[in-house]
Amino acid sequence: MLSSELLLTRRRGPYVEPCYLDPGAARYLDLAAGLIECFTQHEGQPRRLLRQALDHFEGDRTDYRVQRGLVKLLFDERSQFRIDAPLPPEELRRQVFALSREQHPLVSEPNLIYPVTRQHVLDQVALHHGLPAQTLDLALYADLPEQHLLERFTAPEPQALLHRYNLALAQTLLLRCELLRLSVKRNLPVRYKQLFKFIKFYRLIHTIQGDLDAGYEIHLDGPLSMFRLTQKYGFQMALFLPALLLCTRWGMSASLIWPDGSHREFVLDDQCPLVSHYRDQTLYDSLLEETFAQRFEQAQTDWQLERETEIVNLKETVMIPDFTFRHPDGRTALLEIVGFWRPEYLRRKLDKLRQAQRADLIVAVSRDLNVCEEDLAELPGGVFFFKSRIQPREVIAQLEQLHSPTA
Amino acid sequence: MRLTFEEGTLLLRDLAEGDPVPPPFVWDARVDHWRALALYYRQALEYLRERGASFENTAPRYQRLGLRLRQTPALHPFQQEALEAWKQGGCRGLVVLPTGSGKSLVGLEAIAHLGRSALVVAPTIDLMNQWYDLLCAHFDQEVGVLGGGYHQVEELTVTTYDSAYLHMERYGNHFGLILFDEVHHLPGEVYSHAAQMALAPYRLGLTATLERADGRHALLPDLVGPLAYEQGIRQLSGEYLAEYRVEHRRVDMVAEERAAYETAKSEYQTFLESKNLKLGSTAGWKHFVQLSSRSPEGRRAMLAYRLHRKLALGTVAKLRVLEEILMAHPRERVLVFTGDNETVYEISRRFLVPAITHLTPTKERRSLLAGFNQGEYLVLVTSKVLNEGVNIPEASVAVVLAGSATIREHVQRLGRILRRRQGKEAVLYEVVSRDTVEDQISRRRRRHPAYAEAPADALL
Repeated sequence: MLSSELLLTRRRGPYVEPCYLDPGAARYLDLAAGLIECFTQHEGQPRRLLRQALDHFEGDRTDYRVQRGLVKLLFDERSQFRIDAPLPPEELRRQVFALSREQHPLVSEPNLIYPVTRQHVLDQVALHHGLPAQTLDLALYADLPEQHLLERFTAPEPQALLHRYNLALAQTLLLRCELLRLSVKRNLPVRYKQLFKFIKFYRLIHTIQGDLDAGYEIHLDGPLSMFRLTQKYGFQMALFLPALLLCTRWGMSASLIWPDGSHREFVLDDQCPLVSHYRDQTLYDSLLEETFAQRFEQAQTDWQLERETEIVNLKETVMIPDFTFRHPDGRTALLEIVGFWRPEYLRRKLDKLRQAQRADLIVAVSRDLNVCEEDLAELPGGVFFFKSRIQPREVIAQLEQLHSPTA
Repeated sequence: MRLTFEEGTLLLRDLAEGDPVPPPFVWDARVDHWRALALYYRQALEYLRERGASFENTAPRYQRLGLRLRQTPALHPFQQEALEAWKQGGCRGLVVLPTGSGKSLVGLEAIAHLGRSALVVAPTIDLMNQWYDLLCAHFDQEVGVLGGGYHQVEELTVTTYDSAYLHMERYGNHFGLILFDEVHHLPGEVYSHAAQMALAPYRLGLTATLERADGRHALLPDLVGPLAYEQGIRQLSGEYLAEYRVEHRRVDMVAEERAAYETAKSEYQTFLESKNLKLGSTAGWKHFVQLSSRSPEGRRAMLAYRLHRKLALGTVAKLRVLEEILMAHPRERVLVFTGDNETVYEISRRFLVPAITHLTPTKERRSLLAGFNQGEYLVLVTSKVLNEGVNIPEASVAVVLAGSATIREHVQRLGRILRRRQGKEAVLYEVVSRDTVEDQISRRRRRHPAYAEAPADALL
């Protein structure tokens, strides 16, 4: 992320947006390439020299804040530094300062009362270590960051750097966020599951409204948010943003507090040009669900299977069923497959199912699991067990039973 | 009904019919529980107990410790009074005592008196380290450090306001007592979270100067407790603090510096005149910043402005004056303050004397401060990191080479050499470049009463 003085924004009424760079523009690709080149050339050199070269490169350019933003990302995410000194600098300082104490005060022009200059002291310590005095002089503060050597620089592609910069701008803006509103619509369960995995991971609290067809509005904030305006969770929201970008159909509106106390809105949606640098772990559904979906589509029934699913809000958590079923006459139902779970996950899963109290929910439980009928007694919807695969006709039977007048 | 701690808040769960809900709690529909700021733990507990409510309380994680204070000098009467006043207020509240009067001793006594897990929050890493030393020296107890690269929480722990803000949601229930040192930092928009997310029923705030320019000190009674005790600087001077005098040195820049200063000054001023801009107001300054990112001329003018501010420090000439001062006090302990780290290291390298900045490793910092107090080093050079309350009782000369205009900073620098010692007269040198922006800043700074009434100082 960037520091606040490197955050470039544009204001439109109550809205604010980052000044993104065009990742295809030659001007910025050249700038990125030039900076990357500068770092590459300074491998093995102290940070101080790299900074001087970057200052020189900057000159009187007016877009120096863009440049410094790119530079910050190269420093933070691509560079590795190390201390370079013939002796541990702290130990060296101890010796030099101790000797200087004996000769105190050191003067620039020796006189009768105070005859010792700094050079005398340095020479004496250098002699003791068999080093040139100049080397010793440089090593005295070799542990200061400015003196560290750039040990390794991993050069990104210029365009990847521009993408990373644009995302970093949006993340930096979110540091000022007190409430994040998301709207999501008709995503696959795996996407929702990934989304809520991240919401939980970053310890944000959600509020959900809406349904499958209208889409959902999700509010994200933190425990303190109900008592005071706070940007305390802005950092967590900034880290969450790249995860949101992995979703497919979404919009986001962030309420920001500006340093002057005024409020601004920052909006984004899935059409925005930002590119996530988090890995998308949702590419493949589990095989069990995949084969079931294929077989169901070949079955003789009016029921339609939908991969996009509902979010069942359980307040402190959510349940995201695997499939939605829709009949032409307007009936709908949900299916949750309890397939392969480790015991502690299974227990939590069953708790969730009980808590949900959904009459339109069918639960398919693997016989391989250590679950008996009593465990599922309190579920108001349909329940059945399956062996290695789930039979579509069994699900259809459950669907019909769910909606029969006697059910 | 269960009372639990969750990320800086309290939750009431599993309410039975007729269970009372204390006033600070509100219904949190996001999670379907009652929630309150952890700050109101004591109030909530009192409410529930008065009503004889039965509840399981798993919120607090702090312990009773058998704490015995060792090796402490007897308290001065005013320290004793301060401690008693705080106890009278239910062990919640603020104690205001001047720099150098032994506030930390009051704090140690408070920790020993309560005998419960305690957290000390300080504004800088140096002060945090100093509290670490104090707690280690006075209690038979492992002391944890949270901040400055350490993440170790013990029954007695020290931290900074920055780290407290970041970590209180996790550790806000681990301490029965929180001691906020230099408590005037606490009511800031960000730092106030630290007090709100902790459930500690006992709180002590220490400071020399309660007032804040933004008026937010009005929040302190809610966050820490009411004012328990106050004693001003003039009431204690002479009796408990060292006498001090101020030497004001105005230096002429060396010719090259002056020439570069004037060139830079005229470059940015020409630009400002051509744009009809005045820097006196916030609006004018903002406009200048905008223009500086629109054209290379504007950018050059801004760079010239920066250079002129830097040159105004007149470092070359000041280092000559510093050399004279060091020669004038060859046997005394001298503290040198600058406005920026670059100058700190320049002085350290030129005079081969130890330096402390925020970059100095914790271990080295501690050994440098100890070495200075024991006379292994005679000079210590530093920037802003030693501003508040770091104990350097042996220093009798302070040299301020540059600094910001804020009055508090300056008074605290004064306080550093005010530590009480028999027959000691302290000297503070203020070295300022003549006829520069710095000259104006210095005049503003000297409006504080601690300066105006300073004894034996004809210059002021």
